[in-house]
Amino acid sequence: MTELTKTLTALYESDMTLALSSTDLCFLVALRARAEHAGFTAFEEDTLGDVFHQVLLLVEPAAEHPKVRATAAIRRLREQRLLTRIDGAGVVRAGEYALTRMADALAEFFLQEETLTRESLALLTHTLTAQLQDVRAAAKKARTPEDWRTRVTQPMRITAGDLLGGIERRQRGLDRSQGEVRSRIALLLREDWFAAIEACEALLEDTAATLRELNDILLRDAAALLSLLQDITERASDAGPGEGPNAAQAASQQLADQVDRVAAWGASRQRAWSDYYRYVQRFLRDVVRLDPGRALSQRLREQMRGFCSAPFYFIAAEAIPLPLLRVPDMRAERPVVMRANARHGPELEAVLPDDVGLQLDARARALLAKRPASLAELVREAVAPVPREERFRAIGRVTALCGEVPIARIHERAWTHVGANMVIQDWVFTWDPGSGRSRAELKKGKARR
Amino acid sequence: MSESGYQRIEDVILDPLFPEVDLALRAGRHIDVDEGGRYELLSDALVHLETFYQRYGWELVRSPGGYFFLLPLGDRLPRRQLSTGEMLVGQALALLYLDPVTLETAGSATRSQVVEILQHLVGEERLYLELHPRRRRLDERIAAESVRREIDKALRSLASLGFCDLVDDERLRLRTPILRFAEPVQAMEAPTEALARLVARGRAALGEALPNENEELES
Repeated sequence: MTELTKTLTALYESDMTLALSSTDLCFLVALRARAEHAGFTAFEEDTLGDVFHQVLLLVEPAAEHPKVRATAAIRRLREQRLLTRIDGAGVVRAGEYALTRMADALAEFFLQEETLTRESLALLTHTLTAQLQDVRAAAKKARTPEDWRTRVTQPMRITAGDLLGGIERRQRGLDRSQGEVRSRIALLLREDWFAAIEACEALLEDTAATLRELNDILLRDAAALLSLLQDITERASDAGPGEGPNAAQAASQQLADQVDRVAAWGASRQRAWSDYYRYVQRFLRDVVRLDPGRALSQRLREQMRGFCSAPFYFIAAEAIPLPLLRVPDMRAERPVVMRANARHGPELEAVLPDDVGLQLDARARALLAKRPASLAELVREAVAPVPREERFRAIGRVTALCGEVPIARIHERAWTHVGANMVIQDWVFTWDPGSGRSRAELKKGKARR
Repeated sequence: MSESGYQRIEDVILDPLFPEVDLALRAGRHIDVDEGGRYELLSDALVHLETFYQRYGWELVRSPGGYFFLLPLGDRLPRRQLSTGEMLVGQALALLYLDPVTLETAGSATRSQVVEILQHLVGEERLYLELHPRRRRLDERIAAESVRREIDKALRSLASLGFCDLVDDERLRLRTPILRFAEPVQAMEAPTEALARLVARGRAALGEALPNENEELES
């Protein structure tokens, strides 16, 4: 579990919340201001009551029971760890209180915020350079891990780190102040329009000059700081591997990154302000100076309101679409989409021709040509050569061949033996005596005619 | 070679930047000082390029606002007339450009601001009908989405013409040429006269108004 995770978990489990009314916040800021002004490090309970009373007179003049409210406000601030009792005397006597670090930070945010100025930046970078020169000298002399830790790594992490942190904090302050300048320029123009031109230009120039100076200092001093840090890293590297030199190298690298960040800030803010500067100057020149009465916006609004009843359209050039000659597309013949034939049912197997059956058919047809009198006569002769066990199926096959043969219409046909203990229900054939053809063949001949 | 002083038109044409400037102008783009090298080339070579484009039937216009564009003077070359949506959105953007509030963000505006201005000055129903000329009545279920879509389309087109830059789905950055939409009301003369002058110079065309709601009800 990382340190941050542990802190967050503990913070959540402690059920810590912050809830401050505007009056409480004013009280906090007033306490911080009083401490700075009078050089207090702690407040007696009476002083707290006095400050609260003054705040109340200012922000809620009609408020009643100031003492009760002061007691409640002090309790709320203590519960939220913004005010802490430092005398340890409990209820024996009136207490002595101090603002916590959290209260300090909150109050500082609302008080005059520190912004980066040429003076503060020069002072900070000068101090930082001196500090790093000392560290470099100490790195030359360092022999033991203890030397590296106390005289190189710690001064870099704490003193130099804090100084760079101070520069970054003031940079953020200047960022906010630039945002305020932008809002102020917009407000000035909204309120005074033409009359605000000079004030706007002065604001633009001031900020541009500040940023230019800061960037110059940063560019110059950042190079010197990075060179010092490089020296320190080389000393640590020459000292060989070891806990002390390694920690010093890491701290030096961390500071170098921080210096790079601080220097990059200057360049990026100057660039951004330069774009804004040009935009505002153009606006002042093309819009404000040409329209001192600020009538253009109003006239444009009127134009928009009337546009639908009297529309007009601007003309613009339009590029000629270039004709793109293409290579003729020789389309290949695409095969017809079809499915492979699927075989349904079982696979067929090759068998030898049924010679016995064909011989039987041939024999039966030959016998039929001799015009037998009945089916029994035909069957008897036709199946005589067929083995006994095949004879039943053979009789059926021969009978099937007699489909075209005329049969006498007899109410009850006789059962007749055909050999091998088999009997069939007999048909009597009625051959046409004249033509020698069956009645069916005669019918077909008539139809053909 | 675009620093300054082109002796001849050949020098301009041989400048490596010329092809892209030429293509941009022919596509209807308005080129302002923010385009850096392109603007410098046009400023330095204006004398040569005016003659060059005249031969094609185009006028290379240098606006007092400090931007260039190509204006087709005849019918020999293709020309386009901005659509109703582009005209309405362009005017709304010009209004935003003139507002000191936009100055705070160095010309950055949002699509929501454009929609708000149009709805306020043109009216919700009228705006819908103007942007959808084939529709006869407001369909409230789809109106907001549909208007937004048409405005987005117009913004894309205006961005390609150099009037603004689209930063992301919501934000856009206004450019100086957007003041072209305030041209008919820039001078102190009556807007109708200024418009007639623009039409006579081939910079604008008059359109026909859609019938308003009352006329529609009467018919």
